[in-house]
Amino acid sequence: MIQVLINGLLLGANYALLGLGYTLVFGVMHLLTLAHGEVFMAAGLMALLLAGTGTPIWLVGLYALVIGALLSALTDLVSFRPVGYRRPIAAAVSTIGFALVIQNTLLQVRGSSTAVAVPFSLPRADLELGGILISVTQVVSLAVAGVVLAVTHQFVRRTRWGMAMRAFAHDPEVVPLLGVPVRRLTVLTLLIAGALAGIASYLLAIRNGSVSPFAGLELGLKGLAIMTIGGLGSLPGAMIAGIGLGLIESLAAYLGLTGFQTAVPWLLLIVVLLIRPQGLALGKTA
Amino acid sequence: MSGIFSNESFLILLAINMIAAVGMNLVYVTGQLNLGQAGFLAVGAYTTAVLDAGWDLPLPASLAAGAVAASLVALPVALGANRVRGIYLIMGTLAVGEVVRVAIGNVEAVGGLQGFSGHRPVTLAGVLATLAVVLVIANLVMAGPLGLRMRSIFDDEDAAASTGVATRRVKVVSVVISAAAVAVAGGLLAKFYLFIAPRNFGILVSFQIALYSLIGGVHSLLGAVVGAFFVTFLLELLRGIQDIDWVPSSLHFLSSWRLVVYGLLVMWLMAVLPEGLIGRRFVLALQSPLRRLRRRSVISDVDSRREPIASVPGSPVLEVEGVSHRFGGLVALDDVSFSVGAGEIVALIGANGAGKTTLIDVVGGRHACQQGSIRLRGVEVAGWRPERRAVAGIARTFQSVRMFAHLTAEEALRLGGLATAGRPGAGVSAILELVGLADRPDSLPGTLSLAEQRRLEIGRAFACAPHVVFLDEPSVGMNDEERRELSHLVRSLREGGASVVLVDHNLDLALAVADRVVVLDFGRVLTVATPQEVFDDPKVREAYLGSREAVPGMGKVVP
Repeated sequence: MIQVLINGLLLGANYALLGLGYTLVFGVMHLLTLAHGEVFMAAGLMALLLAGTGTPIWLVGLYALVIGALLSALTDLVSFRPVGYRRPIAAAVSTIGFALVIQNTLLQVRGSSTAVAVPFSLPRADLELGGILISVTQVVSLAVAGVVLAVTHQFVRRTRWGMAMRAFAHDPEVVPLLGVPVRRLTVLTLLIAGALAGIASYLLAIRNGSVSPFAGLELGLKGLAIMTIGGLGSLPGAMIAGIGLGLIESLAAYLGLTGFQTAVPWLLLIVVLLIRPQGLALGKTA
Repeated sequence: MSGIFSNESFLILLAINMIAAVGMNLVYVTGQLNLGQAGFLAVGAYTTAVLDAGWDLPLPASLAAGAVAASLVALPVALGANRVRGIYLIMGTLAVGEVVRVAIGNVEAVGGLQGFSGHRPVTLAGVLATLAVVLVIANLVMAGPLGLRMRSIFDDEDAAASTGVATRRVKVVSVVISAAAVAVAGGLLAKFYLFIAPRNFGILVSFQIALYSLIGGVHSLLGAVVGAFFVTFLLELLRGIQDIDWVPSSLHFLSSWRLVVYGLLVMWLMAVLPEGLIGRRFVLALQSPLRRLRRRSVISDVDSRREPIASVPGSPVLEVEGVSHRFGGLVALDDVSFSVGAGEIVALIGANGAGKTTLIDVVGGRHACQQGSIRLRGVEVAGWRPERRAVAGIARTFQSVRMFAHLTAEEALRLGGLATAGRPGAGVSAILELVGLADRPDSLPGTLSLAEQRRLEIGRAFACAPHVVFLDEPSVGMNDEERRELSHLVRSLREGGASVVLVDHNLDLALAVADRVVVLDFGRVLTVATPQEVFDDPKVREAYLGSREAVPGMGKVVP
């Protein structure tokens, strides 16, 4: 049972990172990036492809982070900017196009649609805590996710750029008049969202042992559900929703409700929307 | 390329996609972007397939059964969707589509995840006939009063309600009829595939159906048909590109890269044509000869089903009594009482923040009435929704002019005409004349000047044949000439049988046309007096102008 909770927590931390990306982009720019799931998938998959057997584990993570950040920033340049920030629906549709481009370019260039396995072996050591065995990998993953979540939160709250993001969220018209370079601001927002996705994707790859080129859609939609459940634009809301979803999913699997497992985020979303039409919205941060 | 059009499977699939696209437009035209249509597609497909497995029903019967089943599933969804807007609505519908799919996958009686085998294929003729029937019905809906109401909600839900559109009901109806149309497409799909499984109805299918509408354009059925054709044809063309003689072999790689090409094309289209291939202006240009013909025969269509609302004889047109309104701790209105008599023009003045707009919002129903009584010709309306008040005879304009961006001037007035509840209204063409747009009935608000937009908004309110009209700062941003036209317009409203409550910062205008003045100060009624008494009252001057001194030049009356 404890093992189920730890599994759920780890899964949930990854979901939180994913949901946080959506929340940042939507919170700051009021736009949906439906390419985020494919960015997530591509970052993990390409990092694993670039890694050789001798590459240090942390370096592969860095690959994922950079690839995720770059692809995500590209979303701004090829989808949001050409369509314009005031056309939310057309911008979201354009990102569907970009999602198709990312996934299918990857499939065509690689010439294969099989999953990519993690090319190195992970440390097998286990820690014993009060009679429960936890793998070192899990502990490290959880720590990384936790640190990244905390850093992102502090970045948005405390730094000048974070302040500019929050100001932009409130009034996109005034912020450029104050001398904030808006183009850099939007790119930075997407860079951060993509970096978070890259890290989460890599952590999830380590957990699952591989990345499938078809994983982007389902994960991307889960991220959307997490953002909505958490209350749009609320960073703590997204974190709690993500972790909650991870826990509920592992519990559902543990209880043998596999037939409905894929519907868990959606059922949760419907219930939350019916009870609180504005999402959980635990304090607006972004 | 001609091979594609002699390929029966392709044509069947194309027609099915067109039906689904029409279904999508029927709901998105109200601004509800439903990303769960695959769920309704699945309900239609499974219903039809299950019936076909047991009985030998004629095509229309088995498709209609699917449509009915999907409507039943859609009804609670639509009621739930009414609670949420924007992205919450999009996500909610996405969730519903996925839950329906997973639920079907857990029903062993229809094969669970393995899928279900239908037994009765459909011919191309059957599919085309169905498409024709769906198009005819959808066109009847879109061209009639319901379609006009649906389109007004897409542009501005509040303004639609204030023009008498029962926004909630119309939105629910549109979700349900859309689901029915999509379910018909699903039933045909079941007959075409002959074997269906939950994996045929995933989220990507919902995305695809939405893309038909978004790429083609939501503001007409033509957009849906063109969007479905464009996407289906493009993908089929690229798939078989090596079979086309004149395409050089160096381009044959596009066949396997077709989804990349499609993705790039979507990105490019959204950048250059964000409203889709068939925009509103294109449709207007296309219809213009037809519209001119029709205008001669039909002046205005009145919704005769609506009953006139009863009144208590001898009562004033409007009585507001003891109305208070709080926003959290802020008291915006404090025990406000005043009345408006028949044929009277009342000016409502007060400094910024005095509560003028809040009062209009409470009387018009945009804000719920927290305390007090609002009686229209003796009938208590305080608990009514905004659209019911509009139909009963309380019309309004908005401080920041609120137009229906995709409705022509004539359509906006026709929409108002639907809310007259049997009262004799001025009629669309007379109001077009009155607001100075008789020569441009087909113009969209984006092409009108601010003054013209304000006049059109007033005309729209007047088209509801109201007992009382609230005008919220109509003269803002107008020059002297336009202001003079405005005062004529206000007087014409009275001649047309409406009492007028005018909120304006331009005292000259307000006091020149008003019979009586209500002065609001910090949410309370300071004075009710004649214009002349207001000029002479130092208390009013202080509240309104911040000075006890008489202001030179004030009180000059606009001719």
